[in-house]
Amino acid sequence: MLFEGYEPAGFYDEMFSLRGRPRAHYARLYRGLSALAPPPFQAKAARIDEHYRAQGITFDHHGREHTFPFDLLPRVIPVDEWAHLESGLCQRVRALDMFAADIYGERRAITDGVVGAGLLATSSGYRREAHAVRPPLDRWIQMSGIDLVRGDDGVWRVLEDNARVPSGLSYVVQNRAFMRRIFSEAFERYPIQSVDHAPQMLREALAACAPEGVDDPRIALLTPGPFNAAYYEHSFLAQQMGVDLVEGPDLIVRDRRLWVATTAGRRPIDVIYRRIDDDFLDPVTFRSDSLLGVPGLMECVRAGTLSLCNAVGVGVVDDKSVYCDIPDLIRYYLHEDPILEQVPTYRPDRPDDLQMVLDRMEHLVVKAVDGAGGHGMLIGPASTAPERDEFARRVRQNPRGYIAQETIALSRAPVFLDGRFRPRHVDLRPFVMYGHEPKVVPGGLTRVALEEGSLVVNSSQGGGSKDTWVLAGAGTATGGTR
Amino acid sequence: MLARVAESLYWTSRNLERADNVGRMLEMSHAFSLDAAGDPAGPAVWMPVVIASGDAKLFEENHLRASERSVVWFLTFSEINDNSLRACIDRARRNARGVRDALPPDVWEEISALARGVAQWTPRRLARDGVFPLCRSVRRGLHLVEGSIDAEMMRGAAWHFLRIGRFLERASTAARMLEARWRIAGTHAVERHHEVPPDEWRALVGAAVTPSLLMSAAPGALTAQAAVRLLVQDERFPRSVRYSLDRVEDSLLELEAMGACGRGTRARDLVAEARHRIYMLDLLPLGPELTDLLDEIQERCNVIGTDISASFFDYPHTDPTGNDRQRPQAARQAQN
Repeated sequence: MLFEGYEPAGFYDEMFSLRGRPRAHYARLYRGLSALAPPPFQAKAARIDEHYRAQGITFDHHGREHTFPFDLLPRVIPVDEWAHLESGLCQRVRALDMFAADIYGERRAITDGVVGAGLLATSSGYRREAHAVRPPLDRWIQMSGIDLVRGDDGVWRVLEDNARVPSGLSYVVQNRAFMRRIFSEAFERYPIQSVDHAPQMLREALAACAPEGVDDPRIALLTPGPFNAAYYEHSFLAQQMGVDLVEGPDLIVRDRRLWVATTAGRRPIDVIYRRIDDDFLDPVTFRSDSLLGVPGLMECVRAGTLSLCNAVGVGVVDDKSVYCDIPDLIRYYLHEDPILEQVPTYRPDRPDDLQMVLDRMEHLVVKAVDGAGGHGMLIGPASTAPERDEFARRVRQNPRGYIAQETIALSRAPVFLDGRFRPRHVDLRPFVMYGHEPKVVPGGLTRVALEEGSLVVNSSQGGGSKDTWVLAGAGTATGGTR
Repeated sequence: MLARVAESLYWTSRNLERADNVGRMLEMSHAFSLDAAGDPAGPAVWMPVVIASGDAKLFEENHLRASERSVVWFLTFSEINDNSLRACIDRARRNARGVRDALPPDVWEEISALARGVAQWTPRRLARDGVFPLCRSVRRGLHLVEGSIDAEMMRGAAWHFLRIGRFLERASTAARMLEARWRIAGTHAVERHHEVPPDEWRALVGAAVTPSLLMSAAPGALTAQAAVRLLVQDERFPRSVRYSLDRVEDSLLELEAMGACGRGTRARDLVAEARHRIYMLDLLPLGPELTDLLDEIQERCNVIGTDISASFFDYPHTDPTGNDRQRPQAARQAQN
């Protein structure tokens, strides 16, 4: 009943290989759900929004608190498929981290011509102030979110790297908690890898990067405060990690150390997990009008008394024009072949590519290299002629500012809307924590485009999410293709 | 504990306590106004409520007379009143939201649910259902908040700052409410040799004391004196000034023991002094001395509050304009 009229054809469907034929790792869920009439399921779904609101699990959009729509049917990933993704993600983040260290160190990749020399002059994420810094373990990216998509060939590809302040980890943990409360029947006989320890994984990565000689570091999460869209996440992670949630005015720099104002006076801070952009961190070093940062913060970083995670300047790594070079960077630093594929990408600052991009704009996705959150983006097949003209003008004017990618026909998964399941496009954002070794939280955040046909999954543009299950045993993990 | 977090917790519970007091006062006054319906003195029920709330001046500037309608609106939803029920609860929620990582999820959820519940009241519904169901649901919501605080929280610094806020507000409000009522009804009561008919002494002490409570505290003595003694001096009645100051003192001691106290705080000495003063006071005869004492208690509570702020919440506060400038910057921080 719930799946009546569900048509998986046309795209890769995460749950079904053919109409009415679920993939093996979904078979049990399908049987359970098929026996259910829509009303009880609808009742469960209705409780979710209520739960989220009650807990204030919201994001701020144009000054209003919104809940993040959540779909009750989990996204299931078989263990062998996950093993492949996991090793690919670790490999990729290792290379990204080495690239950051290299850029702010010897710049071998530039000398050896792996990336163009123009990068530093043109990347908006590059910070020359980071050159004086050697972070502990030479670690630059303690926490990253790598966006993956699956095309109609069933192949997973990296769509985007987020190495600055990726968000969504709190939803990974909360989605699972809600599933357990509201849809516990679904868990029956499914061996699923836990995600509850994700905040602890982050804490371990942060602690591993504490300044040398500090065994039991005092860690704090630096937030821009309740007006930020992701404030809920900041407070959740701080609470789960057992660290202080601090705002700029709580902190002060004295004697090249960072201190926090407590009820008993000042106490030193060793590690900051920051959720503030580079430019706002320290009004002495960066934007002098910042009201969010701490004057002198960078002085502590340079003196080695403070670890800032992720490090200042890592934006150079997830600059979208670097994306094209990452397979080469993996080969260059690690002497390995890239495990994960990526989306064919064109760079208008290369003359051949420019003409091709302009000619084929209605088939491509055009993105600003420093854009994020689905903003500053043109989805060719869904665009109007005037929109394409506008982007063509922008690309011609500033070819270095854009990239273009083949439009991926994102895979779809059933989403419960208006009383039954309907196919909607999804992606996946796994989170990689990197202290001594990179570790991936099992699964990640599956984001859903709720509008029919839409490819935009960002929460700020009406996207929702699903709980993501990575199966623990090999027993149920058949039928997945990659 | 971060100074800012401690301060937010302290104000969260002060605001909740303030809302609690407004609700209790309205609930009791509503009951009186029904009793006094046929009585020509009926309307006199409402002005004392405004005076007890401490915002009489603001009220008189905005309302022609103190009727049930105007007073209830002023104390519940009026946007000109910063101490309305709704304003207090919204402020408590805002403070709590900024420090929710320091609160167990249940506590935050109850505070949030309370605020959402109050926000759902419209003027029409208030006019239709009256103030009683509103006050009752607020009181229940507050009980859930307090209950979850006491059931879920570690007795660490966070819990103590919540407790200090709650009881300092309670001590000060108990004194203010009693003073306001005493000024109006008290002289009258004294003239009658402290013998007050049951309804009248209830008017005197407000919502805090029920006849059965008074009877159990001072068997056989339904007098103004017994009621005042209960509200001011009783060490077991949880809404008395004495009890409240005792709790503030306990918590300050505990904070000191756990090393969460700033240097040079005088708060504990100040509380001890105030408590001693109350303890030593002879309530016979009830006269102008009482209003003086009640004034003094409020003043002492203010001084205690100021000392707590100065010694525990020492960090650079952003002024409201700074907040306005900070807001757009905070909002634009990319969270990819």
